[in-house]
Amino acid sequence: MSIPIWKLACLCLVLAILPGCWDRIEVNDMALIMAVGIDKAKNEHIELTVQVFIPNPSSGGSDGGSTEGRVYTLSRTGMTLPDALSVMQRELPRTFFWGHAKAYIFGEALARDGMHDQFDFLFRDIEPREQANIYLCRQTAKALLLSLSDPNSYETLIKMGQKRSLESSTVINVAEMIASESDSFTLPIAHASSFMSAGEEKNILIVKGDAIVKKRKVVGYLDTGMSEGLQWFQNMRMERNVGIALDNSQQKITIKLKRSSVRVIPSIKNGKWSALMKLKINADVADNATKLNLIDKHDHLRKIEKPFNEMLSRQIESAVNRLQNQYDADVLGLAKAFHHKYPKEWKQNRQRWNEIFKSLDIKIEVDTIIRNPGISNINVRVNKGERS
Amino acid sequence: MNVPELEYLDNPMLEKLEQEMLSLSIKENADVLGQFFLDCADLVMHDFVVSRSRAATVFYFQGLTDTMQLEMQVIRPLTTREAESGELDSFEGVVISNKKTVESYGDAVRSILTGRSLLLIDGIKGGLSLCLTKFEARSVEEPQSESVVRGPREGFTETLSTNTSLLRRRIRSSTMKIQSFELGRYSKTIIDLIYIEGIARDEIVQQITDRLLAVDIDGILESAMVEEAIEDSTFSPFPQIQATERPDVAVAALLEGRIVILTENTPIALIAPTTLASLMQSPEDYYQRFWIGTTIRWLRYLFFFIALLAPSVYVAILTFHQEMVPTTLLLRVAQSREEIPFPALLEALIMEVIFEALREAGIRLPKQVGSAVSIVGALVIGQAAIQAGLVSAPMVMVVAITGISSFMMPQYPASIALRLLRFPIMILSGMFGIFGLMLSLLLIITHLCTLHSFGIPYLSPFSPLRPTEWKDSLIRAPIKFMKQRPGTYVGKNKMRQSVYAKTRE
Repeated sequence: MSIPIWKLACLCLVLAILPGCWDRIEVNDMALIMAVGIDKAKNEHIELTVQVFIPNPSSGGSDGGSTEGRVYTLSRTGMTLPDALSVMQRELPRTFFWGHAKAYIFGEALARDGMHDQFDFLFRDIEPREQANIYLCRQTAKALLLSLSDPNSYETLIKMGQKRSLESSTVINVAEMIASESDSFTLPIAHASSFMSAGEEKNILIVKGDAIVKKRKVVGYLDTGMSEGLQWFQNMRMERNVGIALDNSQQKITIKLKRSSVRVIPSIKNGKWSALMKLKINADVADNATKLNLIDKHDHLRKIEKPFNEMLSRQIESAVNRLQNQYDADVLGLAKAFHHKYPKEWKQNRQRWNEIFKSLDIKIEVDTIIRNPGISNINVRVNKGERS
Repeated sequence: MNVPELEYLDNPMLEKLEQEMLSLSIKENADVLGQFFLDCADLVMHDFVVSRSRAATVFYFQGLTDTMQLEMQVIRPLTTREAESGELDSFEGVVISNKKTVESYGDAVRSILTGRSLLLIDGIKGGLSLCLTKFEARSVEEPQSESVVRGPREGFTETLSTNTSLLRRRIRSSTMKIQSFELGRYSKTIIDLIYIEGIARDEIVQQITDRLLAVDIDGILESAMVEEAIEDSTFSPFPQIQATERPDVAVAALLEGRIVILTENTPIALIAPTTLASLMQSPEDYYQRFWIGTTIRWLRYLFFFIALLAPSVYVAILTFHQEMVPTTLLLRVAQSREEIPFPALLEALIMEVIFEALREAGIRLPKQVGSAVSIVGALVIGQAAIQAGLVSAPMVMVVAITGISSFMMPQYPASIALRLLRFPIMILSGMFGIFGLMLSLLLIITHLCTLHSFGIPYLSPFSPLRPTEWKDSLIRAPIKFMKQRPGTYVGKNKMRQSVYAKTRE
């Protein structure tokens, strides 16, 4: 049997045209979800708050003026997260699009109770993006999202997602942490903060502080000192200046961090578990308010490294101590290091990890290398003729 | 040939006469030729008397003959010739270098038709065909469709002899062979097959000769008709024979072992065999420094894909894969698309069709009107369309970029292929997204892989893989390093330069 070629061609054409573009979704039929707030509601329900971007239809044309779109915030409750979403979808004409969601914010009540089901949806469903950030907040997420009054809040969200220091809180990283040995990690906390803009007060989203999450539940919040101490172990957080006062005087010197690396060396000797953490820091001098001339032959750069080493290791030690004793959460990923180096021992002691971590002997070594004294050397503190 | 000449289908008598010998009587001859050229108003029959005793006639077509020469070199010496015995039986006294005698009526008719003049003298057997051809022709001008900043400004013309002379001036070697063919039952167009013996592969020359001989058509108006008659795959959108207006391009092809086909009455020469890579080369690649040549070539490869895919990618991403664009870009596009009443696919199709129409109109219209079209066109697919809210601004950009990139192809036929293929790809990607896009790309690549030009794979040297030839396809290596001719086409003589040649002490 042979079908004439033209009949075959017609068949192909018909087959291609009949289904058409049935599953297409044009951009103008979409409500782009920018931020999602997840809260606990009554009767074990979930309250979902979404902030969607809907482009401004009145713009376009030559003036090119108000081209910014509008951000709408709405919330519904449902049995589960996807259920609440479908309730919302039923009511609205535009299709919700998760592909560009930038932030998932968990309300405090829900975070304390445990976020298992919500994480499951975020990891399992195909639409939520792995690059989006997960934040916690100290109130309900709904209240936080509603309080954002800046028309450009989506801009803030996009920029926030691009911030390197927040990379560890992306969905993909959180998924990795949950799957890892210790099941503890930190999540950043989102706040609304007011700024003045053209005489009006605007609330925009900021990120400040961290919370410790253990077994998908918030167990505590880090204060600033602790947070700074722990930051060293998350390699991304490099936008820091560290100041120190030399010789207990008022003369301060500040260094700007360029690069840091952490090496964790676990060891098991005679059944005693211990870990050595080596922190290596490269930095430049940002501000020198001392009398030291940093570029003369005495090589003061090497000398000022020592106080920094001491200060930093003190800071880290106290943070690690509190982790061990107060929160009992291994957010440093030590469990993983032990697993890698001692797979057999790890297998036997996996169940006991909590106890081991509590009594783990952790040593800290900081090695600061200051490379660049700055581009000019006008010492504003020194009077003429007084140079050392 | 036993096949009846279809020319004389209505008049079997003429067909019979064609075979007959010219008679001694000039009166009879004139009668017979008069029958052949009945109602041919442009034929001139000039009677005169040779040596005051014999009747003679010249036949020629008006406007094809140098009448001045005819009078000075033929008619005057013959009329004033003293009647001496013996001399009367010959054509002596005619001082024209390019002449030949014709015996039959058929030959006589054909020689007149090619533009030569035919001289008959009463009582002398046969006639004398004189090459006094001269007609109005365009002089050698700068090629219009392939201009370069640096390089020769000469282009082929409509006159075949001028064109061969342009080539001969560039290759002063007896190994450059020219085979002549006559194609077209009525047009009797002369086709010259040019190659360099030893460099060109014999089997390719033979193949082209065979295909040319098999052509039976009533007229050849342009080399495109020759191209279509001898090309491998009629239904492919891709040109399998390169066309050029430039003698230097033709010569470069000859030196690569390719074959040039010149056609009478058209300035466009054909180059076969052709690969896709050779369609991406421009003569200027070789006239600029090799860094520039290479960069421009890469740019061209890049824009090859942009010309083919840009609107399709835009449509596919906007209708199916919104997550693939950076958020800020998507928000921008979403804002501009908010008011557009059409789906992205329709929008793209409309704009592309309008663009093609404008381009076509711009080419066809007389120059005076052309500027009006471009002004109106710029409004239609530009600012006005956006302001009217019918088309989004990013779409205009995509269409414009696509248009510009299709102009980047150095070979016009190649860019037409891209312009054409864009539409099915666009429709497929509008229906199936990136999947449809990949599907259509696969189809095109499969097609290109099966395509051959006179036995040479079209995708060579990429498939089949010949990495040594990437020197002149992927990059434009310095000429010093291209010591071998491309092995894709070349015959026995493979080396371009001596391997041991030292460039400098």
